Formats: sequence, C-alpha cells, structure tokens
Amino acid sequence: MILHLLSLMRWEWFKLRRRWLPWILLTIFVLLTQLIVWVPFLVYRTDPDVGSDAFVLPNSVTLGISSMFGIGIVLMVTLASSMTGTEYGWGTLRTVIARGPGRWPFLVAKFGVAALAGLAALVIAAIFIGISSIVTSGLAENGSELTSSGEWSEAILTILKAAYVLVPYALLAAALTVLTSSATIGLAITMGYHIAEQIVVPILTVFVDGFDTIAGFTLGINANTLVSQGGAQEFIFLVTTLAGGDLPGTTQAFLVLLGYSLLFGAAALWLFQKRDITGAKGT
Amino acid sequence: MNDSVIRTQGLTKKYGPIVAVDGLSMDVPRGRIFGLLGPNGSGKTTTLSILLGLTGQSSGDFTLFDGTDSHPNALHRIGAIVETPAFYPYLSGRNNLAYFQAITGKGDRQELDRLLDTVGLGTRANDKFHTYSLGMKQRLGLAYALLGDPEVLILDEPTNGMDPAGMAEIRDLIRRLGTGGRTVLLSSHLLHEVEAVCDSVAILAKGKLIAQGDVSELLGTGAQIQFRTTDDARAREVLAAVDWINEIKEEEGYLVANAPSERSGELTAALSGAGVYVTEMRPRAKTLEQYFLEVTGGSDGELA
Repeated sequence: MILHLLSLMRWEWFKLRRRWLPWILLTIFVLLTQLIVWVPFLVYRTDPDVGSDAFVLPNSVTLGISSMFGIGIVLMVTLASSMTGTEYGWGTLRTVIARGPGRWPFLVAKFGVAALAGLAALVIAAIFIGISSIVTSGLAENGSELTSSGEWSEAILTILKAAYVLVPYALLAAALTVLTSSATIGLAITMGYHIAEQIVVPILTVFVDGFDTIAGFTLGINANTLVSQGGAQEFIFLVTTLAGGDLPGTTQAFLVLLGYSLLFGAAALWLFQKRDITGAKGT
Repeated sequence: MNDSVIRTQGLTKKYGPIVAVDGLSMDVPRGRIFGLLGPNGSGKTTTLSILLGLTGQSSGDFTLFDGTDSHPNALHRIGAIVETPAFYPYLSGRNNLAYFQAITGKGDRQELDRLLDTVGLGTRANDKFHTYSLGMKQRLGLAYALLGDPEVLILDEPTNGMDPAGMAEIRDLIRRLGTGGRTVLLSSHLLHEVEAVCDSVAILAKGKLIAQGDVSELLGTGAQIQFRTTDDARAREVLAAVDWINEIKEEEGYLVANAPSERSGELTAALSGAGVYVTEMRPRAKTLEQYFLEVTGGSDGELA
C-alpha cells in the first residue's frame, strides 16, 4: 500500500509540474517575499539608522517567510482547490477511478503532493530571499560588517512551521471542493472563510463575552500563533489585546492545527469515498 | 465454472424519485462481444458507472469475474471508456497514457507506442490532448482502455465523433479485440454497429432489462417470410384469417408475413387452397433495429 501511495504521489507530481498554475503561484510567492528584503534595503539606503536586520541573513529568511505566509495560505488554497477541482471539471476523475487506483489512495496522494508543493515553494522562496540578501548586503555600505539578530535554526523552523500551517487550509479547500465538485466554489468558500475569520473574530471577541476562549481555537489565530512574526503578529495582537486575553501557546496551536487537519482530511476522504462521480462539469 | 465475467443481480439506482436502473439482472458471458442497447435515459451509462465504481447502487449487487478480487483489483483487469473520454488537456496523448499506465502499475513504454500505433495516433502522440479532435480523443480513449491488455473491455459509444472510415476501422478493431478470449461490453446507439459487431445483446428501456440473448437467436424469434403471389390482394385476405400469422404487410413489392420460416409450407398450402399461387418465397430475418423497435414499442424516442 505504501509503495502504491508513493507511486501515485510520484505521478501526481508528474502532472502537477506540467501545469502552468503551480509555476504562476510560485512566481507570485517568490516575488512577494522579495519585497521583505528589498523594501527594508531601500529604506536602509535612505536612512541607515533604521538598521539592516530585515535584509541580512538569516533573519531575512525568517522575516520573509513569516510575514508572507498569509499570502502563502491564499496561494496554497488556490493550488489545493485546483488540484482537486479540475479532476471534476475536466472529467478526468472518472477516467482515473475507472482504472482502479482506489479512491482514498488517489486523494491521499493529492494531499501529500500539495503539502510537498507547499514546502517546496517555501524552500524556493527562502533560497531567493537568501540570494537577494547576499546581493543587498553586497550593495550596502559596509556590507561585510552587517549582522543579523536571527539564527539559522530559527529560519529553518519558520519554514517548517509555515509548511505545517498550510496543511489544514489545503485540506479545508480540498474538502469543500469535493463537497461542491468545483474548484471555483471550493476556493471561494475557503477564501471567504479565511477572510471572514480575520474580520469577524476580532469583532466577536469584543462584543461577545467569553468569545476570546473560542477565538483561541480558531484556525487563523492558531496559524498566526505558530508562524507569528512581522505583519502576521498584528492580527493576534489585535484579537488578544481587544479581548484582554493571552496568545494561544505554540503547543496548543500545533495541536489545534493538527486537529483541523485531521478533521478536514477525514471529511474530504469520507465525501470522496461516498459521492458519485459524474462526467466533466467545468471548473 | 461460472462463464459470466459480469453478473448483476437486481441492480437498482435511484436519484430521488427517478429510477435510473430498475432491478437489472444481466449476465455478460466470457469471451463474447456483448452489446448494451437502449434509448435515452434507459440506464446504460448508469449501469456501466456502477460496474466501474463511479456510482454507488441503491440496491442489488454485481460481481466482476468470480468475485474474489477486491473491486479496485478487479478494475485492473478491465479497460473502460464511459461517454466521451476525458484526459488531462495540458498533457500529450503519450503522457496521458503514461500516467494511466503508471497508476495501475502494468505495462511499459513499448506498450504505449504499440497502442498509439494501433489506434492510429502514432504521429500525434506528442501533441497536447486539448488539440485533439473528438475522433482522436475517442482513439486515445480506446488506447487507454487497452492499457495492460485487459480481460474485459467496456466501451461506451466508442465511435462517437468519428468519420465513417474511422468508425469502420474501430468496428474492425473491436471485432479483433473480441477474439482470443477477451470479453467486450459495447454500449452504442448505433444499432447496425451492434448488429455487425456483437454476438449477444441486452436491451434496456426505462432502466429495465427487456431482452437479452444471442443476436442470432433474438433476430430469429418471430422471423418473417417474404413472398410474391399471383394475387397479392387475395393472398392478404386469406392469410389475415390464419391465426399463427401475426401480421401481413407489403414492403418493397413483397408481401411480408410475421411467421416462422419453418411454417412456409403451411403458408403455401393455405394460399394454394384459395387459388393463389406463390411465385417467389424466402425467409427474411429481422434487423436488430426492427427487433429493437418491436420490443421497446418504438415510442421511446431517440436511441442513446
């Protein structure tokens, strides 16, 4: 069974890397993470007093990934919806399942490849951040003397945590896509939830007594807690300050996200196993 | 030994109040080319979808082969196309086949080349699927169905979208594929195609099986006698009174009696007794189309 799953993942990867979409999403992510290096560098060129910490390795990697992982969630949801939904849209799901790979192994292979693609995108973005950091440090006056406050271990941990955070969002998108048999609707509902949570949770935390406890178990708060730094920190700060409460701990965030991943993954698999598969229906 | 490769027992599929397949019990004999016929909405594609695990049945059961394999494993022994074959539009024909070959873990690169040549796609194998015409998509669908040299082929409208020459070519191919012990289950709205290719047939109407058997047997049932006489008008009067002749009509200058050909002697005697003499006579087998219209009542609309 493991070999069968690995084979399905290998060929899922074969299909994925031949599509335009993942390359477009990767390009967007890499370009956006570059802002975290180049904007501080340009500010530093104008006013050296602001410090060089943001664009010098290894802190540039930590800051770049943690600040932009919110964008990463959006791109991951897009990828996961598309990977699952286009099979319905093109009608290829019928062609695949009639071949007998088994329904749940096929979907689990997709989950695995989506998670690997997310991790690969983060690593590639980190490599480009690193290259830009080397270039900017070289361009800066006294570049060889610039130092960073961060640690390499912290940068690596941030990449791994960001990849972990992407998983429940990918699984939520996949589950909703299977439920609606549509990439577009799956993507729209997941993004709608993601955005609504960012708006509704702070409001409810202020106006509903005890909601801060519930807020501590929402997807967004825990995702931000695990990878919090830079811009992402502001959302948690807003919620916890308004509620007068504490941030969820890292362990709690890890477990809550694991719970969401299991819940969404199980829902997607259950729906996928049960539902009839019809012909092509558009995306 | 069970000589059926596919057996359904009381297979039923309901979509709310609509019964798409209604208690279907059908046997597809091993090593035969078996036709599945029926008008629009008769449940043919739903039946095939159930067999392939794409749709769950509401009740009833089915067995693939001897029933000892798990369903996914049994599917490894079956090649199928259901409706218009769907493939990844951004992959080439060859890469599509390579993918589907890989997920079942059978076959090699030579098999891909051989199959692409067999279906006439050798020169377009590296073109993207989205550039293919409907006929080429059907051909790729056939190559997909043949991956892994399956024991059973399930083909749903395999010549859909093909030009007449392509249709004839695919019919020949299906006939060849049906030799050597392989079973072919062919669903087609083209009655002459089924008649030309299939050994046995099942006819569905409104989700129910209304006839099943060897084509030769079905068409032999209630066969016709075609003849000319010295006085056709008088002959019609005489034969209208004969109880074992269901119907007598005139077609293409001949009188045609719905009567078994082995009773042609009695027919001749009845006519000569009335002073009418037969000048020409021969048995006439029904076409599948005639048989189909007869058993479906001819009022089920367009065939599908």
